[in-house]
Amino acid sequence: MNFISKIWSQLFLIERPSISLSFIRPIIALTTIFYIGPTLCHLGDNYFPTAFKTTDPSFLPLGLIELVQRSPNWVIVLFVWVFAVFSFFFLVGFLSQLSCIVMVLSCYYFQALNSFHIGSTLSWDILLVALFLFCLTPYHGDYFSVDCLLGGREDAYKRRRSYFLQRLLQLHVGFMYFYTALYKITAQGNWFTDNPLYYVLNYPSAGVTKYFILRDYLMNKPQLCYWLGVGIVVTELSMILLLFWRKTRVSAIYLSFFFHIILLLTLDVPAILFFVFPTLALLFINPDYIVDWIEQKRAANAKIGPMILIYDGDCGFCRKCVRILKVADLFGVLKFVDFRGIDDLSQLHPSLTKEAATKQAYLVEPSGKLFGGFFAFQKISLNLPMFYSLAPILYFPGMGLLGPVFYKIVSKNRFLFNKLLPN
Amino acid sequence: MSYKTIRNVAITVFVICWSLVYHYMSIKHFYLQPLVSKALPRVPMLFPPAGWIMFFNVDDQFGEVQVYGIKGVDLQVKGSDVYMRGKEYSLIDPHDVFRTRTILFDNIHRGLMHGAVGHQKPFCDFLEHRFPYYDAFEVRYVGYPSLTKDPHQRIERIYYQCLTQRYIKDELHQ
Repeated sequence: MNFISKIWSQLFLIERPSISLSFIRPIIALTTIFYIGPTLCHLGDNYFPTAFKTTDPSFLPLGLIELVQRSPNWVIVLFVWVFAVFSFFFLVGFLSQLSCIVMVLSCYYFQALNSFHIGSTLSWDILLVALFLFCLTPYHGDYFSVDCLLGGREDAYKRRRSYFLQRLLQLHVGFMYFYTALYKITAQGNWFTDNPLYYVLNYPSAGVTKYFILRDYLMNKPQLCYWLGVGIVVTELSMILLLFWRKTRVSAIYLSFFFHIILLLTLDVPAILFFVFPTLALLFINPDYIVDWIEQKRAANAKIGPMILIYDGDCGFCRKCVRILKVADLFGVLKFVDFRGIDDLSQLHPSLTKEAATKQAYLVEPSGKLFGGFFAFQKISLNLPMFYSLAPILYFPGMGLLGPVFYKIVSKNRFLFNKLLPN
Repeated sequence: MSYKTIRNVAITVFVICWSLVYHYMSIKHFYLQPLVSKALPRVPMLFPPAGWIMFFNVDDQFGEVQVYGIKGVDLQVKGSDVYMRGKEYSLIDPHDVFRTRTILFDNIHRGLMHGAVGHQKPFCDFLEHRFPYYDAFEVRYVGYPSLTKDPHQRIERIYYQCLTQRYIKDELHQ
């Protein structure tokens, strides 16, 4: 009994860093947006009374479908906005759990309104299960999120949480491979008794097979197609073991990526499969190893000598920004210096004066290069993983002119902005 | 009881229930129902009703749906049946019928049109909404009975034809 209890605890109850879930969250959010978003571009075709609609009472309760079907157009438009706002919140990790729940509810609304585009694919069901599990806890907002930036915990990246959620997502991925393979060879599946891959490759241009480089060669090789099909089924069946066995885990993750890239290049299957499966396979990497790797990077950066950010410690807004940057500084690349506490700023950089430092923040690179104001933040965006997504905006052509203007506006109104940030 | 104990009990109960439901819904349709020879209850809103099936049965035949827009209509009445023959047929690109562009794959190539043709009345109404300048539509099935043995053998038949409401109102009521 004690042994079982120990195993159970190791599997589900143990606390481990939640950083993997935080990393997966934006990808899951983007996948949902990529899937639902295009259907919202043509409301007249897809959701308004002029649309072609189908319903799926085998999936959703009939009462819910009937209720949703009575929606006037303004309610539909309202839900479009609800989805847009909360999927964005979920993407950036603002009110992570709540935004996930509201986003999923709005997805159900659109599926009940018209299941023609949304509800008819297995890949959507796979994503929905992952989303449901994400709705259960706020763990996915622990890092890479606005929530963690506002929370101000500098050790947020190594926050430990119950492992059950990550384990259930791992099992979901493993069993997805297993069941899809099982159905290919039992029930009505014909992958061992016939040659489905050969048939798929011979589909005409309107079919599901894309024109890829080896198609013409493979479509005339039934024997090779058969054994490729067998290979696919065997790989899918064994994937769950390969992923859970420590010695084959990394190879299985690579295999998962390879498998889904091939799928994306050869077949017109929902891209959800490409985004969700390999991404969720990354959850098999022990988060303790990830945190250890981060700690090693931080130690290495501390030895090299970090970049120095010089800020005004008398300015409340600047202090709050520094607090946010400390949370976002995953690899410890920044050292924060309040210039008010230093008598001689030329020690940090020869051209730096107190007068200059009161006007804007400065960044001194280990090489001695100095960046001021907007350009300092441009540089920071390339070094903090949480701000990587801002880099294309900050480096967009023309931002060299516009950026300093924005910076001045924010700088002049910093007392106003200070009120917007939480204490 | 401490918070940690309560949390662990809650997680344990959830994991057990979740796993049972997950695997029940995964095997219900193809394994459990044939075993007990009756329809079993389902868990709505989360799991696919037929389990996790994907490309599990593919055979040698293939079919696609084609939609033609028709301008100018000849109607012939024989007994209680009405036969329609169009004067000018235009094959409509299915991407124009369903304009929703999916990302990184083509929904039409996945056979999206097959899902629409079974709903004749709403599909005809939708076609009229999308292409108001046609008088009627003809939905055809094009089948290839054996792609590998006889790739050029092609069967074509009409699923159904539909006159637009506008045509019925304007032309037939005159």
